[in-house]
Amino acid sequence: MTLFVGSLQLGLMYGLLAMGVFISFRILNTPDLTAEGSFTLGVAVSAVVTVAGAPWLGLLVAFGCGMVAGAVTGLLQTKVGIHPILAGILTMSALYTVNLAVMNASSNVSLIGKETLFQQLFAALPGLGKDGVRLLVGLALALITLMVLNWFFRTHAGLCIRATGNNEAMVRSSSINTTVMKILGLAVSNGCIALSGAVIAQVQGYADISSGIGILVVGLASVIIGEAVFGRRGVGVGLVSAIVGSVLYRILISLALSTNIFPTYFLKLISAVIVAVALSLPTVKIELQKRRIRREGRTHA
Amino acid sequence: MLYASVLVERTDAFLRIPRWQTDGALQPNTEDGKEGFSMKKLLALVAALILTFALATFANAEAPKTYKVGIVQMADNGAFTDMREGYIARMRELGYGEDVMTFDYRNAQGDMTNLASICQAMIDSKADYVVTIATPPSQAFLNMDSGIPMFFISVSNPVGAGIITDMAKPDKNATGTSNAIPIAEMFKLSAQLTPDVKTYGLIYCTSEVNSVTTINNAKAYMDQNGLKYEEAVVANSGEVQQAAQSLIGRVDAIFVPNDSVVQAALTVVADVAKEAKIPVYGSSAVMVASGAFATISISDTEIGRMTADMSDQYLKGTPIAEIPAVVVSDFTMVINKTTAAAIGVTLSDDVLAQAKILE
Repeated sequence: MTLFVGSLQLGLMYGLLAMGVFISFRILNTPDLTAEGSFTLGVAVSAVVTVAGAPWLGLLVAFGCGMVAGAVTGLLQTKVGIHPILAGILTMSALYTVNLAVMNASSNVSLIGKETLFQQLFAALPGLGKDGVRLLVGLALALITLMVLNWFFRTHAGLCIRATGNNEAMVRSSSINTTVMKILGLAVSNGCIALSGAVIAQVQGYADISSGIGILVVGLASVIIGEAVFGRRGVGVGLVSAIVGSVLYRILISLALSTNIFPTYFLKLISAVIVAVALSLPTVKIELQKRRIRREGRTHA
Repeated sequence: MLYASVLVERTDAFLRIPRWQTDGALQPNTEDGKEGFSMKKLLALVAALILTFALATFANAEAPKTYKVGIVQMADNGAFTDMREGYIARMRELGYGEDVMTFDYRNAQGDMTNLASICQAMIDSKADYVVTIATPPSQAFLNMDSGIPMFFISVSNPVGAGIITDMAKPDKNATGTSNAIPIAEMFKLSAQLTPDVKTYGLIYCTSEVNSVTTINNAKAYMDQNGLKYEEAVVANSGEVQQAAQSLIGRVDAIFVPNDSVVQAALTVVADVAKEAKIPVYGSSAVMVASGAFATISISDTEIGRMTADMSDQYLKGTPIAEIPAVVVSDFTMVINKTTAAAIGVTLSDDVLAQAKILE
């Protein structure tokens, strides 16, 4: 039970990451590798600000810092003309040093015994219990971010970003500055990713320089699992499917963890296989449909 | 408890089925020579299953108490694995046999997003206590505030990591061993074996809290004792070779802290140093086995064993708060003879008698 509730809590918190990845990967249509750096940036900033005594501010500052990181990638992509993948890699590795600097040259900042936002809420809402509080925070953050993003991508700027991802040439010929739109889009995307890191740091009780390793895979897998369930539709559904995908991904991982049949070192292989199976479901569905049509075609012929 | 060990037995039994089937299917059955998978075998299988269940239930009915222990390891590397194996071996020696104590071992394989899920799984399975190897798993588990006691292994700065306030008085239901590297002893060894060394090269990864702690101690020691140093910092094991090469010509020896990133590529460092005929001082026996010249170390297995003794105290009734966390301080000199010959260092009989010699 803890495992399921835990997956739900973590899934919602990593859902912010999934939404961020969805923005760059699907809406802007660019592969953005900044995520590993900006996630850790969020973790580090949130931890440091929490140690200083302002856990809620930590989330906001982390979001802002993530936006700056995304904007840097955007500038490298557009103004400097560096290939999108390389631009992301450059920002990511630069952020490694930045993150160490944020944590005062230490690779690990402990939040154990510090006043995190969870500790504050445990004290303020004793009736909910710790699991309830974690769930509430995850749900609230995911919903608020979802609503804000859903609103944003329907404003003029948001629509321009979506159009840029769809057909850059057409947008530019309508006298819209695609450079600004790309930078803005990447900034919002990485802001969400850093926010995810910020809340994760507070729930896990420490910041570590390696927190972001493999995070992009987590985000992409969540987005694609979500699409396997909901299909590829508009922005609103897309954002919801990213969160649902993230929760499903956590549940799949915890299933992989709770099987005792395989030796421990199989973990990564098992999780990869589970995700691959989940991702192949749409194709299988289409194949089955085709087969049915063929069969029906034969009987009606 | 009963349920848990039945489950273990059951998965064992299930695992056996496919092997039975393939055995039967691949080899012609000598008894009746026709079918690969006979009724007889099926019956035997059912009987075996029933017996397993019966035995499992019986064993539980007779055993006084069984323990379920969770082990969370950060990543796959030689040192961590030695610690884990040392721990398990010592618990078995202390009389916690397989029928009394089951280990639920999980490895995050370097991915921190897995740690929270792993820790939750441990709490979900109601482990009697949990053993964590390295700093992040210890922090992740402690932060869950589950009420389950924790024994940590290889946390070089437990107070800094926030898992204990005072090493002598564990206050967070957690105690264990810290393996701070004995810097002063290390440099004394170097002065004894290679007295001409004045400048040390330091290779380490800035992302590892353990190695940064050791490096800071080493720098402080060298500053006090008039030794010089040059640093080469890496972010992953792919950069280690260039880092080592960058030091050649500028330093008289290389010191590698307890750093899993550099350790993974230690053979490369050893080769570069051998060619330049300078010694590499490591911080674990594993490093010396990979070609480093010498170290003063406590074996990683021994750290695991010491932690096992602490768990034993707890199981025998001592509260966690009364089992002080310890900084391990029982060292041996480990020297690689092949490397010594390659870099032209002759070892005195005195040293040979004291040290543990690896080829």
